[in-house]
Amino acid sequence: MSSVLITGCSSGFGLLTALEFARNGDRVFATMRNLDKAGPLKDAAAKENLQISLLKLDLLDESSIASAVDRAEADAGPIDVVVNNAAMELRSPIEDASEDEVRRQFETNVFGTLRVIRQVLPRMRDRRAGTIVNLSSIGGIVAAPYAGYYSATKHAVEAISEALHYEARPFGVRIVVIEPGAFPTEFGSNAFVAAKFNESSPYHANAQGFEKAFERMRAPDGVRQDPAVVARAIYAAVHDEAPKLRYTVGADAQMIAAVRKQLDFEGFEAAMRKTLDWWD
Amino acid sequence: MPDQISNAILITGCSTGIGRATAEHLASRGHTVYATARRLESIADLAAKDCKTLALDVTDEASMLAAVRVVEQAEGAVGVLVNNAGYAQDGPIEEVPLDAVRRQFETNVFGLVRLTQLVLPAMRAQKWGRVINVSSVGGKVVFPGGGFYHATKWAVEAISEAMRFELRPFGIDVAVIEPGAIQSSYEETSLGAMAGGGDGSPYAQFNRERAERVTAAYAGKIAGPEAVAKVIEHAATSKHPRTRYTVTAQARMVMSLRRILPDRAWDRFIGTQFKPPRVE
Repeated sequence: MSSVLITGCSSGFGLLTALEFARNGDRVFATMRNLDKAGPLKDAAAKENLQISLLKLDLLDESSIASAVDRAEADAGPIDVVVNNAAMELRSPIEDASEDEVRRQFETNVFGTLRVIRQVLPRMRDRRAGTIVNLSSIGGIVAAPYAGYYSATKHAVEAISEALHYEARPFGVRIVVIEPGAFPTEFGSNAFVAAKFNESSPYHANAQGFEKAFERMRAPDGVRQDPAVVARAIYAAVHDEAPKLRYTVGADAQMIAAVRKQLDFEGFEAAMRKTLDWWD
Repeated sequence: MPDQISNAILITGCSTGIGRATAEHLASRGHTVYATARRLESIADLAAKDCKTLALDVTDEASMLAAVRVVEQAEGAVGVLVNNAGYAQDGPIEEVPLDAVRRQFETNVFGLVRLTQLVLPAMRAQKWGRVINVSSVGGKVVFPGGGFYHATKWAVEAISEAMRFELRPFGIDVAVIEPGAIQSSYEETSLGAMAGGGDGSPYAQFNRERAERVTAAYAGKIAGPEAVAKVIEHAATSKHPRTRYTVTAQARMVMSLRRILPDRAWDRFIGTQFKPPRVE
């Protein structure tokens, strides 16, 4: 049995991942910024008769991270696995985002994740054991228009994770990066649209065209991927006997990642344009 | 406002290295060049080499606004923006102070984005423009001990990729320049900004060895910044600029290795280049 702390558990991948580890008998500390939003997780856990401990954790507040980690370790001993899942998505062309909006995006996805890492890494390093899972995205490998800032934060998480992979491994700490494609989760509720990115934005018409093209590409038959796949992939990655750094999850993400690796940059872009059938 | 299309070039970070060489090269080829740097006196001599010089600090909104206004009043628009200003914050992920991490993002990411936002309206109005972002081979690969620098460059890659899709309909091309090791002040700046790994740190030896590795790499025979200047000229003036330019044979080799090698083989390659932290 492992002790597992997960951020952003009020919805989406975080909620599903908390359930997945609990189902496998692990001691789960599901954290979220606002415990008033724990209803869906509580209901789901009760339905399956799963024990999950809830803790408040705000990525923007160093002391709230420290106290959540302290509390979990006081209750269940050393934390074996941390899943950095909490994130936000800013929807905006690069030109339309305000300084504030850009900063909010990086504050949560990059600096917030870093704060959690720095809280648990010294403890894991001291014990020469532990696994840190960082949720990236296919957006951590390729960037989509109107989601450039989100992609930038996920690219940054990829780079930070890769450096950590080299730096922490000698101390017995393993880093895992999960790269999901597009899954229907309540993640939309963590998305915020730049104030200037409205009907009067010069980007508005093109963005609508892209949205339709993207939807066509990812769900040609209207079939959507099950987000529980990601939770299971996280559990499997943590227990992988042939551990890897990166796990790309979802048929769409695997296709895009493979194409990206095969083709040079001009080729990749041409392929994406063709697939999306959206250009100029 | 002049009614012809402006192709005036604005370059940031011209006091040394790539920025300086690019300003000199483009001016010598007859282009209208606005060379900028934080301290005007550091580029005073460029005025004698047919550059117009301006003070511009990418972490200072007023300074960016003033510089862009000067160019727009004289030329109608910034035709080509070369986002070159940047530096490398080295040090292990666990130990670089959060303030230093933030400063790294302020200059390399937020500053670049903000200046780009400021020039875009006039570029869009004239339906022609180029945004050239100086990234690094480190925007595609990660070396241990440089995670935060890589994170900012990975972020710039994502932002550039999103922008390319977003701006194409407005006649604006976006190119990314990815130099490998170039004789410039990078080495000094990077080692000057080395953080963490102090006495008693588990990364002390790791940091020392990385500093030696970087010093040795730059002591060898490496390309001068003129090689990058020529590539930037292509991106600025060619009818069909490429999306990415990798500069130096070594950088191209590293990029191909990254694409060809399976992840574990790549890890071993990195292991031959950088010694991991030592654990007693």
